[in-house]
Amino acid sequence: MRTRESIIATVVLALWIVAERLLLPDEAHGDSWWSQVPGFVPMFGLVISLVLIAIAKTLARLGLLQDEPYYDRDDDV
Amino acid sequence: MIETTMFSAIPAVLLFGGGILLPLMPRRIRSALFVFLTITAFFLLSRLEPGATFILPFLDYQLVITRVDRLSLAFGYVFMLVAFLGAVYSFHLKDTSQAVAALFYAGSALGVVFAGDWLTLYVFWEIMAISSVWLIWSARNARSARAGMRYLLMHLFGGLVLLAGILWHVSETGSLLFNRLEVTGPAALILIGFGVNAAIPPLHAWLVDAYPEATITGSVFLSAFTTKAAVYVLARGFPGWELLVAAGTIMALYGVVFALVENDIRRILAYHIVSQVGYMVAGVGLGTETAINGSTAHAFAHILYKGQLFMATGAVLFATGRRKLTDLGGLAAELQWVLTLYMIAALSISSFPLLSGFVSKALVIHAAELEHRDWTVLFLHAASVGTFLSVGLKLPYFTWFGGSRALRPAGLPAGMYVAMIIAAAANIVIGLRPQLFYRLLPFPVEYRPYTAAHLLETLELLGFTGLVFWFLRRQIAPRAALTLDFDWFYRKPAPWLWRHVVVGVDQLFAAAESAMLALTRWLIRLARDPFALAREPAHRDKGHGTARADRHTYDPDVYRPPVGTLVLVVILCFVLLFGWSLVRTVFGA
Repeated sequence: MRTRESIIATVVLALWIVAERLLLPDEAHGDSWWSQVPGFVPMFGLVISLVLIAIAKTLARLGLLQDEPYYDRDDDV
Repeated sequence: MIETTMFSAIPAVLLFGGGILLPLMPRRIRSALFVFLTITAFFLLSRLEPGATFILPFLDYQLVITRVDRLSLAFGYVFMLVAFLGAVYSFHLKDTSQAVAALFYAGSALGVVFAGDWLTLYVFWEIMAISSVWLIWSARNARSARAGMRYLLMHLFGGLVLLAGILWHVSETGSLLFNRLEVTGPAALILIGFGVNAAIPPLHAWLVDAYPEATITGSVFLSAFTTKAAVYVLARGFPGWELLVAAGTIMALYGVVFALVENDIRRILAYHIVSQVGYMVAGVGLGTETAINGSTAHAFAHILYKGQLFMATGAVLFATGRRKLTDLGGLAAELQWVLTLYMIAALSISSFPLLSGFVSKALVIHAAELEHRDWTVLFLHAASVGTFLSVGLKLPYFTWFGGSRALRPAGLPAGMYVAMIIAAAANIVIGLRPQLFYRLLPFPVEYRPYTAAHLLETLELLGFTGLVFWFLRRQIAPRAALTLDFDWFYRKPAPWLWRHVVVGVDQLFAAAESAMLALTRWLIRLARDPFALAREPAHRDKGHGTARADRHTYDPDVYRPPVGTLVLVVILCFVLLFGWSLVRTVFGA
């Protein structure tokens, strides 16, 4: 992400955390430890998306992606 | 109450019988008959009570052809539901062989989930493999022919491992009954056999290899039966096997990562079958009543929304003839209804509130929470993020929006829309009335999915995933490429093996054959002309250049002594004998 987008994401995240902690009652948060940590779930969604995209791009760079006729180049089997 | 009745076997028998009769019916009523058969089978199934069995004596064993309980009924219902949807979706199709294959496939899937003993299970298991491959081959092109053959070989391999496990298990325990297995050698073999069909990596490559090559209508059936029948048999035979929790979690993540780099829309969906079946396998591994409920619920919902996803992408393929994200785009204006119906299913699979995936996936995750498996829960949440990213955002964005490719989509048959609308309605009803849906599950359900905490968690997770997608949509733009997966291990060495094993052996055989032919030819020549051996080599060689008769054929007149010689010898003998007798007569006595 470029700087501008990172800033937007951070601001949205911060506003969201403040808003949901102020506006929503405590019952709205689950029993697991991560539901009690402010902003854990949205952060999780954000970070995991980035990590998954990073893994996918790394796999592509490692040669997992090949040209479409990759298998057809060999004899017709 | 155990009730022995043949009635419990009738739904499967009906489908098999229908499959045999369908080609004999007038062409114009075949599609309607196909739909009617699936409705009738569903109706008959709904009349079955848990506890009904049908036992058939066979040799020294009692074959339990059907054993009806709540677990098998839940799978049976959804199998018939998707068979019905598939029949409606393929109403326009003139290719009866596909309908026949689909009926056999659905019938054998029913056979598997109601089988009460290993032998019956195995027989239906193999019918399932053989009937389903026809839905791949029916695409009738070189790619599908090869992918179908790989699919078949993989399933025959899995079937053989399963059979070995079954025989070993039966010889050790003496019981054919299909029940939960303890950790033993035969159980491990059976698990591998089931694992092939459940597409547990590294045994999963057949799925993403073959399903995208199937016919448009065939992939709807394929997406439903094989993997979910495998989930059922795992839930029956291996509940609480710790290994499956890890395997399921890995599957869930494996599928989403590969789907993110994929370009072929149906391959993206195929990877998400692996991912979604991961949730079910993890639930089976947890093994508690809530977890088995969760796996069953997720299988049920998954069959509906995944069928709908394959129907919608199939509709795109039908209308445009294209299946790669890099070739698609800007279809929102022309195919807006397909987009709407696709999005209902895509949001279902992403476990969006008010839709089926929300209430089914939650049950699996809730089961893991009850067992205090925080890591499993977090990994499954991570897989949800990936699902939304590729099925909920990337695929529709680059198919219906993105750059326009000026495509002129063809009109779609009405049956396709009807099937997608029914599937969408089912997904919405399940999402809106979860308690009604939970009543189908094998065990009583206490869980309520619509709590403030669950809603908040889901919306936060999906919302921020959406944010990342919007910012990075150019980064994850599809690339025209092919993803290598575990099928590389048997596809890449195949030409080499072909050259060195098959061709090598072939050449050896060919050499032996020509040597034998040469020997035979020489012997024939020798038999015709044995004197050739005695002739001077120089003379023999010279003979090659001369006329054919001179060279090869043995002319008896050439070598036969003339008749005159014979007569001379006879007369000579006669004269000698005569002379000698005369001499004896005159001087002897």
